[in-house]
Amino acid sequence: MDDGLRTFGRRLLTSIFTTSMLASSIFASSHGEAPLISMDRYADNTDTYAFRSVEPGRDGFVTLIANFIPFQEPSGGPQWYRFDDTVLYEIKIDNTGDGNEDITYQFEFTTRTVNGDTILGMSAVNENGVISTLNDADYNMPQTYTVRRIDRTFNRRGRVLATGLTVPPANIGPRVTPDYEQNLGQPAVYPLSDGGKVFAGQRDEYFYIDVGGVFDAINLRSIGANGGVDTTQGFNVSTIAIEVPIEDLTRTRTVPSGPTASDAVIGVWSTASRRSTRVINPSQIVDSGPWRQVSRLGNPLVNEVVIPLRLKDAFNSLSPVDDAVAAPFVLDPELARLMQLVFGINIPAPPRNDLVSIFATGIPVNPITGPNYTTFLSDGQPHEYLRLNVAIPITPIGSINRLGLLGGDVAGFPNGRRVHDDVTDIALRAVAGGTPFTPATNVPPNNALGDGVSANPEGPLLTRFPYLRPPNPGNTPRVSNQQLLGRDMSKPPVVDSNGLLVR
Amino acid sequence: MNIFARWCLVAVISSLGVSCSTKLRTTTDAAEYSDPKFKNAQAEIEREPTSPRGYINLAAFFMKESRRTGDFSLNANAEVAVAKALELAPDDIPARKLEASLHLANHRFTKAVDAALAMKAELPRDSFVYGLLADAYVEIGDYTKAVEAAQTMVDLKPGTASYSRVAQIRSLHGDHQGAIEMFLQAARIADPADKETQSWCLVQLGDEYWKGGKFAEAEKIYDEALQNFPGYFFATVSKGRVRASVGDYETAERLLTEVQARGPNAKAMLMLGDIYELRGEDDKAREQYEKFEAFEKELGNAADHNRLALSLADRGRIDEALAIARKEYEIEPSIYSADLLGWCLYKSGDLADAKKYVLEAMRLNTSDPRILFHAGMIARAEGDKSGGNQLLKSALERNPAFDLLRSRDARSALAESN
Repeated sequence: MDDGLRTFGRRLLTSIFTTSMLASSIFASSHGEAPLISMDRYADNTDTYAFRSVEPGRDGFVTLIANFIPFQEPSGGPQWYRFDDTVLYEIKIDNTGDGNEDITYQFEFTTRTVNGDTILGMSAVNENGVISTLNDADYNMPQTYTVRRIDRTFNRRGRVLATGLTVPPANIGPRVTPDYEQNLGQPAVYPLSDGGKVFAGQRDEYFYIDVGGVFDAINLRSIGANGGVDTTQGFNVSTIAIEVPIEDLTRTRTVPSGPTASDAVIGVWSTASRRSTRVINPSQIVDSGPWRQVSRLGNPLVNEVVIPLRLKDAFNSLSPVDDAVAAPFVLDPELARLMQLVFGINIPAPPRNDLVSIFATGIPVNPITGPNYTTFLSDGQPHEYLRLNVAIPITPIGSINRLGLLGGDVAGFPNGRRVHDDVTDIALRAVAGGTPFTPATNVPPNNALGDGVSANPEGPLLTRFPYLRPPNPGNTPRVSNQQLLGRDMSKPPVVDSNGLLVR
Repeated sequence: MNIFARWCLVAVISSLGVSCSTKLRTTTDAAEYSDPKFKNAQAEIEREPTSPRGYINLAAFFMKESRRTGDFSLNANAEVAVAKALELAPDDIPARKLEASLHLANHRFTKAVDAALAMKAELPRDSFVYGLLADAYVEIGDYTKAVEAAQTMVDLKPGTASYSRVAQIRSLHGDHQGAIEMFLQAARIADPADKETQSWCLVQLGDEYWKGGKFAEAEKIYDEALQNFPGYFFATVSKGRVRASVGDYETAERLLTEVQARGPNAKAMLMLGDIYELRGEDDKAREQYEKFEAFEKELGNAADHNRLALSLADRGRIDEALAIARKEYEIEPSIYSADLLGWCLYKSGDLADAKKYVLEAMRLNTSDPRILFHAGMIARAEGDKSGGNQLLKSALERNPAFDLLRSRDARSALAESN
């Protein structure tokens, strides 16, 4: 490795990591000055999922999930996390490949403040009572929501699918919220008139892993709650999830005839928006300004790693229709260079058209994946979002391979993204070129990279909508996970067939 | 933010681990801080001494610590660390953002504008840059550009940072209700893990109520800020002020003394001086004023010159105050510089110029009772008794305790003319 590359790599490291730092800790420093950056946790989009429903008998539906508000300490009182009433949460679908949303599901929340004594919403939960149902009087600050569908071509003003649905309270603990999932979680799954379902509420952050001392070493702890995350997991997240009949998502409004039909692939991403305002002479009432997108998430990995710092704000405000500006970073991603630099492994040279396929155009029909597999959806321009071929049959829950396509399971990532897909391992391998699309580098260690966590230590996913596990209760000690500690950090992290680290 | 992505990086970076043998020697005998952010930054510098990253994180830590504790001197450490980062990587954006923030903190407003404009050319959609511009233009008194920058900022990224700037600029333009709405929203959506920012927004909100004379509302908000972030100096000072405003000098004295025990605070010194003066304890008052003067002078260019000059003018040191006021107005012709200059000119007997500047100070329709009081006194001295009295009355109506001593002056001036 030459010195030039080393220097370059350092520069990349710097730019990447300082982004995370900046997000939480930089302020103009004269004490009278307003903070310059404050982490917008309530509008922070962490993960998006799109897959054909794997709950038995539901494969005529697609499940769309978007997670927000990361790093929720289960013992989050007295300010329990809830959706922000002033944020517009959306899941968007492009079914024509032009990068514009053709269908939008909007979630807007309203909190009824029973105890309105404080601005920050402290002491919001009546801890003397037991909350045993969603309309229990002891649920002190109940939040409800409206879900609306907008169709770009014929229903621009939108149609209310449901309103007045209740968000369950946070999982405070067995004394206040006993039998959480039975009493509060499942009852908050509402049926929709088209046969689908909808849910909004707290869930377990399924994939989160904090690697303990490693975080210490690289200073990422600062992005966690309270400025210092323990070497533990067990955070919660806020989930919106909706299940939609397949034909309500495709461009022809029908169930596609097969995986290579022109209407078989849909693009999916989620966003969070806040209202701008006029600085001077605000017109009438507060919160009436235009919505501005402040967070966006399609594929895992892209926003945080592929997009360089100087475009971060811009990327988060962009629609996929304008993604051409981001294309060069997919063709030559920083992470690939970093892996080459630090692991000393051979990585495919740019331009990385293999990655452009996965993230920005979809995978065309090709000999490697076979004649019936495609996720291609593009008008020739790059548009970054998940691409789901809704005509590829589901893999039943017991047979799902966590590596998706790489594990021979064509129903999984990068065909959409299931909650079961171990996208960390997949993405590490994809970026390292350890896939059949780049045969020269589809060798160990490139095609055996992994984070060593192949299953959530807190337990399995649900086998029914919304699939994600119930939130961790506030009184449960979080589980420590230090698998990477003590590992020889100069070698690439390679995992065995069970996804466990090879030591 | 994506958790996987973050994790992937962790995996990659963790492999960089190198044994640590060198010790951090960047700051002036930086005390040991137990905060993991400090320790992490230190470890980063040891591990990668040629990377700016550790220095940037160290600077960020000191700047945040300065905000948290009110110890302004910690910014000097931040300056050292940022300079080192920029020496290693002159084009590094995070380092340049910090450098520009430190320009603001140390009242190098023109430099802050230049640095921000240079970054704006590279990052036309980065909200941070517009925040820097809005702050700097407000200080310099270029309000048109400040409004423009804040508008761009909030259009690019609505959130706590942009909403709180919108609130400040609305307040300057006399839109009290609009400012309250924005500070309220800024506080509500601030990161719950960042107690300082949450409580900072609450204190601003409380101050907006205090400015309008709504003392009970203000105090309730200060109490919430203190409950959320116990011991917060900024909230304690404001709570002390509202206690004094309702005549509870004992509690005010206790709170302001408490703050002082933890570190020097200019506002607390001035308010304590005023309380002692009201009580006729002249020696104790003088002691506080002298402490205040020494403190500000020690800050050099980073001092709050307007606050210093105003205090000197009100203690009869007109020539010194006028000299500072003229210089301030020349480099930063803000409404507060204009107000100060007008007031100093009035005190020195130059009524015509005094009127000119105080009118300039009123050009945004800022409903700051201190400016109204100054304008009223100048109008009266000019012979416009009824106009002047009207201004004094509006100052007192807006906030009957806008300043412990000057509100007393306003009342006695009105009493005389009856």
